[in-house]
Order: sequence, then structure tokens, then C-alpha cells
Amino acid sequence: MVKSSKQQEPEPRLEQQHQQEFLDLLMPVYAKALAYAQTITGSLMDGEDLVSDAVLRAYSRFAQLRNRERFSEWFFAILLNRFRNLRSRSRLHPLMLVAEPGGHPVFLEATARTSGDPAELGYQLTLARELLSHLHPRERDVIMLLGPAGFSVDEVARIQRCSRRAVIQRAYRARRKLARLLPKDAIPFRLLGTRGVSKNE
Amino acid sequence: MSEFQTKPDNAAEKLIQSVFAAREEESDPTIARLRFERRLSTNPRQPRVRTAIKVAAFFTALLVLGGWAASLPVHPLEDGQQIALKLPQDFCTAEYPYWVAVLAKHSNRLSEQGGHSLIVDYVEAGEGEYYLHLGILGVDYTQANEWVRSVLKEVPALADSSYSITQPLVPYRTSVRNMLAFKLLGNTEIVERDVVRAWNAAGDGLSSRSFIYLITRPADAARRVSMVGF
Repeated sequence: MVKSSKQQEPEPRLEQQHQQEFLDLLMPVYAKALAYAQTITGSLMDGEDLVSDAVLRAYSRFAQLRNRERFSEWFFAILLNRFRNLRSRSRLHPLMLVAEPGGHPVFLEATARTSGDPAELGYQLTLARELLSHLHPRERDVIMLLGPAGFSVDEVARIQRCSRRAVIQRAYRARRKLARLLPKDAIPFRLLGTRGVSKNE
Repeated sequence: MSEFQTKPDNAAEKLIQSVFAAREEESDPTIARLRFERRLSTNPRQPRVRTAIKVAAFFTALLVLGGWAASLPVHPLEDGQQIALKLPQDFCTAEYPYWVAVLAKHSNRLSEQGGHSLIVDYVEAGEGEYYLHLGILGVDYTQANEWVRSVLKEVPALADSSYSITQPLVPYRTSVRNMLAFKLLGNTEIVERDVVRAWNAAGDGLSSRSFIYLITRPADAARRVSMVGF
């Protein structure tokens, strides 16, 4: 009897270990993934939905990941793929916070906590999304992954399944396009990540 | 160009990085972990089957089921009758819709007895004589006979007409495969072979004047009647 109960136990325990291992690997990249998703969708809620969707998808495929050291690359590849799929099916409907800054209390709270001004975050999120939407999807991914997400060129090359040279070319191309879209000193507001530092300083 | 400088060098990049940094700063991995722990526990990992395997399994199942279903026999039906009813001498083809309406009106009684299909047609038998050909499904010989008698009694123009239930039916069995070939490809030969086999088995050899008449309707695909006549 004892033997049989021991035989039945490992399934849930293994599942729990599997889950803990997955979450241990996920949490260090979670903040970047969420920021990434919210920036490219231009929406706080759509970004959270996108990350949740990617997490569930990644968890269902976790057993297929052989090299756990490359978890962040693997997870971001899934995240980007989910973004492309969801956007092509029009499941993402970015909410324009700028249009109704006094609208939903959740947005109000989230934006006020960040910048003190409910309209500011919404405006900048929308502007960032608009700028990124003018880039080719692969250029957008490269500029985001190499820049704020902090991946190396080699890692991005593996995510995009292309050569290092192609990654760098895309990055420079994206940079040139962005420079044309928003000329120097064109931002008339204080950037969110530079608290206390104004444009003139 | 050997390495990319990640530091933003234009206003747009600075804006994107600042938005990114603000969102990164706002997120709370501890709360997220608790949320995902609960969510992953309620949505346990499902064993994933590759799409190619799913497609292969689907087609294999389709082949196996198709092979099995195709050999299923379709049993013969014995509830079809054909009646030849002589029309009045003054009948002209323009009146045909009128006779269809008359028979449709009397078909209510037929349906009360279980009949579900009445096919009306007319043929010219030479010298200005016309016959109505009625194909009835769902009733036996006696019921069909009683029905046609009642029609003759109630329709004055047919009071002196004669009729005949021209041929007994030759029920035959076939298979789903043959019926599908008949329905989808219009392959009548294979079904006619079944009819000839059944007719010969019944003891009446087919003469050179015989013909096989197959009645099919979309809603009644498996129901068919073979008739040998005239």
C-alpha cells in the first residue's frame, strides 16, 4: 500500500517543481517583458494581457526548452511571436489614454502613480507606440531588444534567427528612421524615466 | 559597425527608453509571481501534441472510419410502389399542373398511412393516350391500391379511368461505397449491377426490353427503387 501511494505522489510534486523552476527563471525577466509589452502595445492592460498570454504559452512548452540558460531569449521570442499573432487577429485594442485621461479609475491610478499626471504616461505610451509602428517589425524588435531590454547582439540574432550583421544593420536602419520621425529636442515634456531632470538641464 | 552602441542617440529612442524604464520600474515581480503561481496551478500544463501528429492522426482516423463505413450494407427497402393511371381522353399537356394539384390535394391521406414521397409524371402511350406515372414511397401495395381507388372515386374526371400498379419493386441491397459513388460521381452502373443481381436472384431474368429506373432525392439518398417495366 505504501509503495502504491508513493507511486501516485510524484506527478503533482513534479508538476510543482516544474512550475517553481519556470517561475524562478521567469521572474528576473518579468519586469523587462512587461515593460516591453506595454511599450509596443501602447497600453498598460494590453501589455499585461500579452505577457500573461506569453507566460501561459511558454509554460506549456517549457519542457521543450533544453538550455535553461537561454530562458530569457526563448521567452522573448515567444512574447514577440504572440504579439504578432494577436495583433494580426486584431485581439489587441490599444486604449487611448490621451483621449480620456479622466476615464477609467485603473488607468488614472496607474498613470498618476508613475508620473503624477494621469495624461502624461498615456500620452508618452501612445507616442512611443506610434514611433515604433513606423518601423519594420524586425527593426522595431531589434531596437527594443538591444536598447531598453538589454539583450546582446548575439542573443538578438538567436531570437530573430539571423546573423549578427543583419541585427546590427537593422538597428542602424531603425535608428535612422526614428531620428527622422522625431527630431532632436522635439520632446516638449519631461521624460518618465528622468525624474527631476528637465529638458533644459 | 562591429558592435552596436545601445545608448540612445536621438529623441525618439530616448522617449522609448524612458517609457520602457518607467514601466519596468513600476512592475512588481513579487505580486506577479503570486498571480502566476495561482494561474499556472489552475491551468495545469497539458501534454503538447505536435500539429503534424494531430493532422496525421486525423487523416488516419478518417481513412479507418471511411474504410469501415464504406463497406456497410444498405438494406433493401420494400415500401415503394409505381402506379400508372390513365388520364381522360381530352387531356392535353397544358393541364398537367392541374393534375399535379389534384393529386397533391389527395396526398394527405397517403401521408396519414405513412407515405412520404409522391412523384408525379406523365407519359404518352400513343394515339393521344396519356398516363400519369405515380411513384409512391412509404406505403405497401394494399395501401397504395386503396389510395388510388379513393382518388378515382372522388375525382369525377377519373371515374372511368383504369389504373395498374405496373410492376412489383425489386428491392436490392447495396453498400455505402456504391451509394456514395452514385451520389457524388453519378456512377449509375455500379448501382444497376446491384439491381440486376437482385432481380436475377428473385427468379425473373431481365429481358432486353427491361430498364432500370432509379429514384433518388437528396433528403432520401439511401432510399432507392428499381423498376423494370414495359
